[in-house]
Amino acid sequence: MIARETLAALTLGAVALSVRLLWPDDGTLYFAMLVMIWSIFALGYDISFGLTGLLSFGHAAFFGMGAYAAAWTMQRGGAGFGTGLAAAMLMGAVLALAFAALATRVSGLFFALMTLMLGELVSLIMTTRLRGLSGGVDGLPGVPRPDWFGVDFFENRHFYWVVLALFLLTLLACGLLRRSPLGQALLAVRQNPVRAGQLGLDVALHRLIAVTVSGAFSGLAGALLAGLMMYAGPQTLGWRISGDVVIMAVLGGSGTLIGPVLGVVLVEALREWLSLYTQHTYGLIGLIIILCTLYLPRGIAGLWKARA
Amino acid sequence: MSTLIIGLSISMLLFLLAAGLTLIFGMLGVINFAHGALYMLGAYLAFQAHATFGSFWPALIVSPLCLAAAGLAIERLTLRPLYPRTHEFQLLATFGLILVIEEVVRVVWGLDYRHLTPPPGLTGSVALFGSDIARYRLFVIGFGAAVIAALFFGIERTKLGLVLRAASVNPTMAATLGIDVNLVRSLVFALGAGLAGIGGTIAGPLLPIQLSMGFTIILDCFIVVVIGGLGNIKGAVFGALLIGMTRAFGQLYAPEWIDIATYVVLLAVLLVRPQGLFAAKERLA
Amino acid sequence: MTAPALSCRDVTVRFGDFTALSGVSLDVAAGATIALIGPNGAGKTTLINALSGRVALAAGTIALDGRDITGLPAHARARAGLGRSFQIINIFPDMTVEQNLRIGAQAHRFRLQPFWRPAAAWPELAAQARAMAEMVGLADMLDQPVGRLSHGRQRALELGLTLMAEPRVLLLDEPLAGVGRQELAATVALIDRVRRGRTVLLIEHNMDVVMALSDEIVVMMAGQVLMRGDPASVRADPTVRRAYLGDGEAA
Repeated sequence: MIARETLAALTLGAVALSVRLLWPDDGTLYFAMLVMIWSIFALGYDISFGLTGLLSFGHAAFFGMGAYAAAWTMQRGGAGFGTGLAAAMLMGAVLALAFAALATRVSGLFFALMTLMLGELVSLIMTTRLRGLSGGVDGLPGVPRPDWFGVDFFENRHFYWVVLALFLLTLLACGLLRRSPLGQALLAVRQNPVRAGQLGLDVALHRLIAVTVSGAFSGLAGALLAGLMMYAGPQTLGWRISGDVVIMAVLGGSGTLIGPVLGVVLVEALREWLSLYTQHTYGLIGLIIILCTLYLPRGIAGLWKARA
Repeated sequence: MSTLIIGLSISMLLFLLAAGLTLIFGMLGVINFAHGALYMLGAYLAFQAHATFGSFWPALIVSPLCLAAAGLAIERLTLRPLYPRTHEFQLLATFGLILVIEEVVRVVWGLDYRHLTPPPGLTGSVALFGSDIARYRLFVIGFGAAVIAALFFGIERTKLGLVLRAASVNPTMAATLGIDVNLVRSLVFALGAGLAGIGGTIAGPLLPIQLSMGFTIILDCFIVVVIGGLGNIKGAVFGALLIGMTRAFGQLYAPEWIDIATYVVLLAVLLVRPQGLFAAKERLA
Repeated sequence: MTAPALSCRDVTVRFGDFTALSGVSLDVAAGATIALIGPNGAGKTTLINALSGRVALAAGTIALDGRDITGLPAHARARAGLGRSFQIINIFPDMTVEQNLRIGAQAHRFRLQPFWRPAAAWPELAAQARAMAEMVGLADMLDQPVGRLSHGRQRALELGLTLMAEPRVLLLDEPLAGVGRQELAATVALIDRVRRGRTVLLIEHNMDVVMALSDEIVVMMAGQVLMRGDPASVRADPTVRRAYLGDGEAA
């Protein structure tokens, strides 16, 4: 089972690499980078949901604020891209810790409601109160990309390596986390918090840890998206983004390592493909979501497991 | 005075939606993310009925009935198979519904704002306690109060209400007593959707009818039901009054801060009493 | 005189208007096994929940080895050496036997769970899990998903999980509930082994088991301690017979 997980992750990495080597046209690379960045987001999200069982509907805040944090440190602070990414992770983690501290006071569906409303609060504050910082509805254009070793990362075929490396690192980190004592403990907290507590595990503390780590990866993804689009805007803070990442994680197969990535590929590919034929992409995706919740409860990744 | 009236009319609107949300949660254990979308659909249907029949009153009947029928279908097709599963799936299904309903509305009515005119006797305003009060708002308050009264009567005093309460407290027990729990669930969802239809219709003359109206109001409704305690109708009345008044008076004195203030009220309530002010049941683990 | 291993003073628990425990005081001497008996609704499980930190007290104090633990959350009490099992089997349902026990081992071993290496990098965790599986008779089913175990085996795992935290004081809430006739003797023998060297507070309805396992019996009624004594005298007491044993043995 563990070997199969590793194999699947390696396959994903190989596919991502071969895209760069075999189809290096701008459109394909952009799409693949979008998928990898959203995968980082979905992998991070699933630390909270799939691993620990905390259904958050507020992850857009960590994602969007990560983008802003990166933009601020680079544009205002004049820092480099690496510092920008670090700032984004820190921003995501701190914000996630604050969300979790408030929202883990309530459980189950209330956690989803609380995080949804906290996310909307952040979005609201950014768009109405902090227009000077957020650029209002226009956002902040001109977010830079790295300028390492004299390579021109404004070319997508170069920036691709940065995104690919961070995607693989995230995949590795999440795979390791899932097998580490921490990951196992989070799984225990998900399956039976009462028993976990009675075994001496500090359930509240481990929930905070899970959401915080999850927020850090979300912030990283947001910063990379800002780098890819060279723009940070309030749209990334909206509830639809939170909804999207939940959908991707669940459709792909929440609670597995590669499930969230498969979900991202599915949703993004559907979006691209459907938009060639119809204007009603969103409605069709809605329909697919409903059908998948009805007939594919364990996501795409569940298809394998069921057969094996 | 007019602020008070505005506040009350917003409260009534919020209550109509929050009551549906809270009833559905109490009976089905589902937080219906699509409730705002149903309300938006109700407003568009009311607009359509108004255009077809040339009057507001048929709309107030047609739209809720259509919504109730849609509610029946939605419950049967998407929610019923999901009750045995964990809550995430129900949340996701209703989330998918939002996308579908929005798409339907976009296809049928497009992206333009629509508007309903109040029915003839309810246009203009009357002088009351020294200020001008829109007649239509008075109607909304009266109508909303009548719906609240009918709901309370229905739940507290009728046999159907008793069945409903029994089935929501302990569905297994209710089933062994011969209550068709599935039927009760369908009816409650239809009732909730119908209430959203009423809400959408009476909101028509108050607010522009547009795609985003559902999400704007559903967040306030979540706040209302969380403050009142999910599954608690009395709490919903209180929550709706609190949020409606905060909105009305906030608009007057600090329009820039009103949205944020609403969330602060919510956070304050949750920090002091995480189970809501009127929690009737234990929170789900 | 040494402090009792576990003691509570004037413990009161309320659920809304209902008083589930009113002023319960109880000392359990180190190494003793005490059985809690009483009719349903007497407050036995509530007392165990209160002692283990599952429900909050309205009044009263709880001490472990003379140290006040009233304000500690459940996990901290577990760390302090207070273990409990549950009346309704309470294990990790989507894991194997080995994973279940390993969670117990690592929960005991680390306060903050490490994340930088796979759990396999700590072979002692798996070794402890295996040793416990042997002790509770599950050694040949380490890789079984727990959902496939018989009820009696799940009971054994429940007990094994509780023991992974190496508790000095054990609270056992109906450890025989649902155990079939064939597995009864083995499970009783297991509990008898486990109680050696530990302090045990046990809820049990089967009076034969109670007589066989306990040094003393505490009878509870309506949220209060009715009486306390050695098994023979409790059995002979007319009030207890009327209140409990008469219909209790049938249950």
